[in-house]
Amino acid sequence: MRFFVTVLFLILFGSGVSAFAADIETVDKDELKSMLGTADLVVLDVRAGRDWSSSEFKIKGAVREEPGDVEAWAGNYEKGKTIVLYCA
Amino acid sequence: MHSLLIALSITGFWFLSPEALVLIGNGGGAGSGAGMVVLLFFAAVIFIGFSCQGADADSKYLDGKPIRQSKIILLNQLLGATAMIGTTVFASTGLLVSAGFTFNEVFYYRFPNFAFAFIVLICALALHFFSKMTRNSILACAVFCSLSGLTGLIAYGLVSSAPIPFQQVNENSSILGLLPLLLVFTGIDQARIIARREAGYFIVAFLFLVVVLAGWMIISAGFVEADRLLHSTIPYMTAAGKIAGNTGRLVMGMVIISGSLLAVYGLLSICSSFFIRTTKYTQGGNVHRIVIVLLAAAVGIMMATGVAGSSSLELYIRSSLLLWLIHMAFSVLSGAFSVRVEKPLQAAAGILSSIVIFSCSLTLFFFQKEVPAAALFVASMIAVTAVLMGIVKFITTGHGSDESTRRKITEV
Repeated sequence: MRFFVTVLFLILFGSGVSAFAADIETVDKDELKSMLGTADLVVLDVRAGRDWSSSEFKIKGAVREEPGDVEAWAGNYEKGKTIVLYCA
Repeated sequence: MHSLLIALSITGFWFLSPEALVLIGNGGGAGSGAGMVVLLFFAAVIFIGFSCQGADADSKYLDGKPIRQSKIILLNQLLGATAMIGTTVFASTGLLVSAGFTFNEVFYYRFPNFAFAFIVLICALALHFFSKMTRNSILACAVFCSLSGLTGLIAYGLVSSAPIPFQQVNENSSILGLLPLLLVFTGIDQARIIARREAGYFIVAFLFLVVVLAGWMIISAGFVEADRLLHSTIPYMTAAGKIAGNTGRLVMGMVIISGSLLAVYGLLSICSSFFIRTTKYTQGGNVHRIVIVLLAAAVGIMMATGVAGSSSLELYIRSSLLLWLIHMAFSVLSGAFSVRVEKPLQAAAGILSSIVIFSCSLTLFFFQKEVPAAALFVASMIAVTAVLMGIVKFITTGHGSDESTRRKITEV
């Protein structure tokens, strides 16, 4: 029983750690802050479900898009623009 | 005092959760006056239902009386198990994410929200492995943090002058906007069974929590514009910020985190107890713990696979909660029928109560945005639960008929 519980505790903790350890290129918040307001910048809020609804903070001017439906909205933005996707 | 805190932690496991606070906040946005009336009406309906709920087969089992199994009761047990498994897995996922975001955004933004959500899940799971005394003390602490924070904010709001005048009904809302307040009472049937040792305190705890929630609804509506409150996904934080600024947010953060811990602990505990009772497996506390560990693992998998970020999560949670209320309505109805000869008045009140719960739940179900998807989800969940119950029953047939172990498991 103890072994069973210990293994499950480790799985739970391990899956928690892996959930936020993805190797994705990011923009520093201060860097983004300095870019806000420029005409070249488009901030896309691609948080969905609880990730969006539980959060108190929303970036001013950010456009909400469905993360699972990229093809539907990708064409709406000019390629020359700096597009920042905000997902967490 | 300690017994009252324990009764409050059992009774308030859902009342003090972020889910209930969202319902209360949105209800206040639909009109604080009407919202309070509807909340008190539902509280009265549930209170009347208490007089009959528990007279069904499940509680006869608990009371050690002979079990009268009929197909309808079995069906209701299947409905209950489905609702509880659905709520435990999906609502816990949502609650934990809310706790994670609250910690990240209110207390320490460098700490990842998902990591905190997993920590709360592990804490809720670990509580089941502590001694009864330690567990009760931690739960009492959590409910004290939650209630003192909420009542503190209400008191602070009362002494400050509310900028928004009392509004009876929001013009942009409808009666349907107030019906979800019934969901605040989800799980109170099972909480009552678990809190039977503190039966006297249970009613006090129930009434106290209803008053606190009604107070929070009025205060929220006094500080936040009705439309904003109605459509907010985190009305509790908006209201807390408006009432007491950043201090209010910090206090609400504490309320949300302790409320989430209580809710997840309560859901795991209730779901496991119900599942074991209905499958009549009585070999002792270890099975109870294994079921809890499996449920917690399911929640962990939901979070790790990104279900929290899925737009379907709300649909799963809402459908599971409504199924639970329908199960409650059937339990009250079956109880009312069983006492109709000796207590006709009590039976009539019970039947009325179950009709109200049933019709409101059904209305809410059919006024959801995606009814076919909700129906498909419910059907799939019932099928999965039926298979699970069948497997457990098959494995456990012929074991654990000893009355003392039966008693032991109902005390977990």
